[in-house]
Amino acid sequence: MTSRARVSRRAFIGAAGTAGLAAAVGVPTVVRAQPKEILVGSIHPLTGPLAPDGTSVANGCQLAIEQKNAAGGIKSLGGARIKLVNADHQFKPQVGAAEAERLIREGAVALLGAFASAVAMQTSQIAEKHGIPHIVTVAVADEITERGFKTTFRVQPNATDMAVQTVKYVREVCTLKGVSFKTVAALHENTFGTALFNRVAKAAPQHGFEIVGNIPYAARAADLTTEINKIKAMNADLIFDSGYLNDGLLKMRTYRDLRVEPRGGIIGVANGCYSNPTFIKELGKVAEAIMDGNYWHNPTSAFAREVIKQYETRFSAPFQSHTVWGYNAALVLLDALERAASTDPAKLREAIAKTNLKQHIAPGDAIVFNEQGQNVNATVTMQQVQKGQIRVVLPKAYADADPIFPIPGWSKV
Amino acid sequence: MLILQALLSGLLNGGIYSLVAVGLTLIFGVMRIINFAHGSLMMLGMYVSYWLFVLWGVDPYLALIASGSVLFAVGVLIEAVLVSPVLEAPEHDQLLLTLGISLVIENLALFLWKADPRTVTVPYLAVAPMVGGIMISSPRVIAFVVSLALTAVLYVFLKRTDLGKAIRAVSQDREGALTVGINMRRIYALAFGIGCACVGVAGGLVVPFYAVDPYVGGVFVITAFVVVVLGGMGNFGGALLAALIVGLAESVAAVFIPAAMKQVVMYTIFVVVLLFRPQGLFGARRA
Repeated sequence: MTSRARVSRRAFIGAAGTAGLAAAVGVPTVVRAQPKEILVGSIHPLTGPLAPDGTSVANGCQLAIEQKNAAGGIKSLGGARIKLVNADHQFKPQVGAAEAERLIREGAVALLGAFASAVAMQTSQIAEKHGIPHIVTVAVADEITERGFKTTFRVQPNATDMAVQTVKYVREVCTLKGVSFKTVAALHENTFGTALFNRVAKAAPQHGFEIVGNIPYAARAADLTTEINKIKAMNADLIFDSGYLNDGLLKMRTYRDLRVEPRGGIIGVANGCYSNPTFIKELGKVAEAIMDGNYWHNPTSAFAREVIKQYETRFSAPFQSHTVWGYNAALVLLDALERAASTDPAKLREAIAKTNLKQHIAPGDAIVFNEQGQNVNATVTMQQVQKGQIRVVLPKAYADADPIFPIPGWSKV
Repeated sequence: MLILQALLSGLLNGGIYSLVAVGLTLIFGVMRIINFAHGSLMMLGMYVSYWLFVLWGVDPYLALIASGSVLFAVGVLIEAVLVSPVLEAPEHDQLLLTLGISLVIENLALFLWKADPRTVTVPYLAVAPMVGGIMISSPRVIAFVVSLALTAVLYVFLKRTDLGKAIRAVSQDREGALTVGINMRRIYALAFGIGCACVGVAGGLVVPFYAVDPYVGGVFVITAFVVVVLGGMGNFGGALLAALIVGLAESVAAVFIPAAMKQVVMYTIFVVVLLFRPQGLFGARRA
């Protein structure tokens, strides 16, 4: 990947040099016939355990850029083509920082990344140092846009959005179905999950919920029977559950074995498992009717459906919920390049800050950034597994199915 | 009820730790090599079982024979080609080698089978029975019973058979064993093979209740390392007892303290034991 990027960069400089020389000796047609190429850096985990997800985000960026190129490139820059240069951060913050430096040195006008908050903290810092715009694809930690950086922008909902909006939807679905649940037990993984839980705990009382207890756990545990038995003993109306994919599979099978069937049901909060197709593929009926407040594409948008179709044809891989944010981040950049009519980092940054992008593939209104660079209209949706499909059930404007609530236990599915 | 369930789960987990640890301690006892590839070999055993089930519908408990045999063969091969050249090398070389083997196996698995976790649901074990408010996780019970049975068989093999005695002879006194004409290379290959077969079977046993992915080995094997040291490096019976103690301690601790802290308990026991009995709880004699 690295060497190929270098070669093309060299080829690029070579071509530019030749064109310059050609212009100097009086053959200007060459310059006009070949619009210049704009380099955009993408930093994602392309090897290691996160590779499938990271690759899908990078491919989301790639698709948006290919579509733009096919439609004639950046018109305000004479139809300039955009080239995405992929770098692999291997899920290591220090590698991410080094790759960000390299991409900027090689002439990237903006960075897209990084799928993992720890890495995005680094890559955005490097971009800030060089004054190069950095649009976050996937990385949920609030802090990323709360360090006073001028060049960091994020389209996706942050951790607070995830927690606060999910709690709000749970109350909405209670009201909608005429049930009045109050008590909540929370089971959460002890790093990212704890950060989410702290925000859930703050939001819960505002929506009439009472947290009766919470159990943090380590994601790579061999057994979670005792933990889930403690949750069961809390006898709460609802269980809020945050964690990753692998531990999610273990938890769900343990819930079933221990007959944990809370009156309201089990609801994921930005859960890495419960809105993941692998969850349904692996657990089948056990996954049925589980809800999760998380990011997702907008199933009611014809544009989004078309993009998903094109993605799946182009890359022969399933479109993931993460892919949305690769695609959307690239859309924001392309739109800004068009308006800036320049690749100057300062002008590009100004254009991104003034973004008001209505046509994108996520739920929510136009993408508009606040002072900190966070998308003020980032919208979380409530998903539910229905007949083996992941459906959006709330908010109504983006729903493609009605919620089934209270969530029936395994014995009733 | 909470505590009874925790006792049961802890005991069952201990059984699985024991089979993983027994393989590790056997290899160390005989060859004085710490096998850092143990976790990835367990993962291979899990994938053998997984693919037999998915491709040909082989019952995961029948597939144990395959997991064990394949891992035995892999073990013998690794020993012959990679480990035997470094047997006399400094310890850090051996550590680097087994660590390297583990990285190769993990990344190969990642390349071949992707990072997605995969599960096997055994139809006749789909729902665990409840007895008097206690959940009896059938696949974990089977794993426990088979683990202990295999450990017992291995123990008898080492105590009673000529080959077993030869293995123990090598572990106790290399030169003495050479003098009486024991074929060292063969014993080394055999010990490494058996150690890998143990962890292969352990892998097959956890497939019905634990999702397999290329990095899954660490979940069980990191605990197994603690067990091996606690039981006295190379001590067979010690490993078994230590495994049950660690399993119980983890599970019962989770009842009383924040669950994410349960590993702190395990490591605290570990440090305390090492402070007062650096040879491990049962480190006096070797199997």
